Amino acid sequence: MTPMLLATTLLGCNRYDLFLIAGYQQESFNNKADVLFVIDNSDSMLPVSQSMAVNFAGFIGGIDESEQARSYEGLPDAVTNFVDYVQNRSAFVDYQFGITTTDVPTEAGELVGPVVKRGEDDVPNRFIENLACEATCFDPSSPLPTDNGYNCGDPLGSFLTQQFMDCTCPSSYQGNCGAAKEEGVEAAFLALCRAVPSPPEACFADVDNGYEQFPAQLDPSDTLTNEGLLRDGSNLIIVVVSDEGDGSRRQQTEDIPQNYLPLFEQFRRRMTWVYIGPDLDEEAHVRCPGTATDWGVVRYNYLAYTSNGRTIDIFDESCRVKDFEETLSELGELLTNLLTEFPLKSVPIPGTLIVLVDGQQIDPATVTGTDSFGLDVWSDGWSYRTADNTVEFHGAATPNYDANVEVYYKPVDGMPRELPF
Amino acid sequence: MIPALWSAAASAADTVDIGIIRDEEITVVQKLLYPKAGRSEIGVHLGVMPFDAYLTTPNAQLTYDQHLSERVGVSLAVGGGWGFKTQVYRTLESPAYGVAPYAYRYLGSALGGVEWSPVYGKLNWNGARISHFDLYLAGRAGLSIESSVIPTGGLAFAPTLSPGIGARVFTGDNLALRVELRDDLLLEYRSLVESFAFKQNANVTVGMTVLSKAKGAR
Repeated sequence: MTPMLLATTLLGCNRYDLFLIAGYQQESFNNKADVLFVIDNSDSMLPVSQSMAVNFAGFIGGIDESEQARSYEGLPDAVTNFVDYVQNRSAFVDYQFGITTTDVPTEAGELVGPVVKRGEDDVPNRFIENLACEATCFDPSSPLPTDNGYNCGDPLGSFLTQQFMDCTCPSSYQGNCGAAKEEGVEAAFLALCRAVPSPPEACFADVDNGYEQFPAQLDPSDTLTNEGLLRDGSNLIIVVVSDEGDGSRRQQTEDIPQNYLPLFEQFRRRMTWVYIGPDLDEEAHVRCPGTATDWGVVRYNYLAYTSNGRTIDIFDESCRVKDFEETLSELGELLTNLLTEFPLKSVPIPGTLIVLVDGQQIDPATVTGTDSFGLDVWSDGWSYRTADNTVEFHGAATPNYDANVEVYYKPVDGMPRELPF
Repeated sequence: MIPALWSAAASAADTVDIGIIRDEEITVVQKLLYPKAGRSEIGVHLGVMPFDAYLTTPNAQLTYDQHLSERVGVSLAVGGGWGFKTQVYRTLESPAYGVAPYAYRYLGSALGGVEWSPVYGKLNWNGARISHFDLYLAGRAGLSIESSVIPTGGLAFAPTLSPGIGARVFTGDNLALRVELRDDLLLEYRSLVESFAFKQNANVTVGMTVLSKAKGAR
């Protein structure tokens, strides 16, 4: 080979296939939790009302005590607080609470009382005032017990009394019983409609579920009537407390709230559902006798299940209303605002996807079965979803806070733009 | 004066006839100060592969040559290196473009073959020092190991042909400065695209070699 030929050969370029890189940064941990309580205030809740108020009072009081006990004086306190935060982030939650009811014809998702924020003065009493005075069904035919020794300002004891309610509620606490048809999911949707500056069109549209028609509950003048309910970048936790299932109007008797899922997606917020209500047995029937429908309870269960939320049985093994204060205190553990889905710009050629988290390759997940809702159950890893061209992480493979996620793939349709070289 | 001139002419006329030298017999035009025949040569070389658009690869090579004659020798070369992304690659993989060329970076190679040194010469540097050198062509074959730049994109064990051209500049009885330009021609399997690809690693090396003692040397 002559030097000339060699030089000519040297100038020939190596040819490489071009892959696309989709790079993402996992979310940072966010301890802001906007909690929306959707309270069933129908007549059937009468047996639950007292217990609910006491449970919530204990839950809120506990949060407030830990907040009041925390000191913010100087560097040592800052260090202590930071260590607490790192070691137990879920216990260091920046809560705020709003309450609405399942009574859509009356409240239509509007908050009863103002949003109660952590760190404000007298948080427990303000929350109980909103809950017990405005959102709970009390009936004169079932009077509360009396406690003549109670003085206004004393904390709530182990049960609600007429004296406590008289002192706490500025007006009558009776007569707040709502519609017999509990529409928790619809109420949550309307509450969000009222909380954002640009609500989806569906917020102001009439509803036709194919069986019944309902006029729109909101009009544009209701925009931001729940202002402050949602903070930027917060985690939204919707807690439904009911002795019934969901009977929201945009659906008939389907188990899965398929008409609501795309509506909630339009708010582009991570939301976690918690359902405190009747439990289901292994055959998806309501365990304790009552008026709750199987499909209505399954609907809440579906939302809690698919949002990594919780379902909490409101009844004990004897079907009596049980103490669920302790369970409420675990709400902080629901603050997993980790992203699990990462959309791709172009469609990848099958088999060319490589997924890395902080430089470590993640193996593809496999379907190990199906759950009670017919959804695939995956092993730890990632999967590619063709429907929306997305890489989804499963289980322990979900990237941790602040992790770098890189997806390499060869696009089916070549380079999406002209390259400079 | 005249007798002196006559005497010189008489001396020229006394030449001795030793025969005729034909052109093909004229192979030595100078004194060969640094013979290679029968000597072995070990060298350490630093190199760079500068011609890949996406990777620049500094590398080191160890060589061993056994010179069977002045012109022909057996050559072995073992080396390793690491391909660094060029600015072009970094620009492409930046968020602006989000593109990662499926390039393979050189990790190492082991090659063996022959060398042919048809040229031996000397060069006068700036009218002062005279350097002796040879030029050689090399033909080697062996195996190269490369890895994908895309993480976990795979390793390639590539059969390699490596033609090259080089020069030795003798700096002492047993030392030489060697400059070589070689072009490794690889056939490698790329796992992500499940296909074979041709690749070339043009490598410029500069190194020092030590030759064993020449026969008859003191």
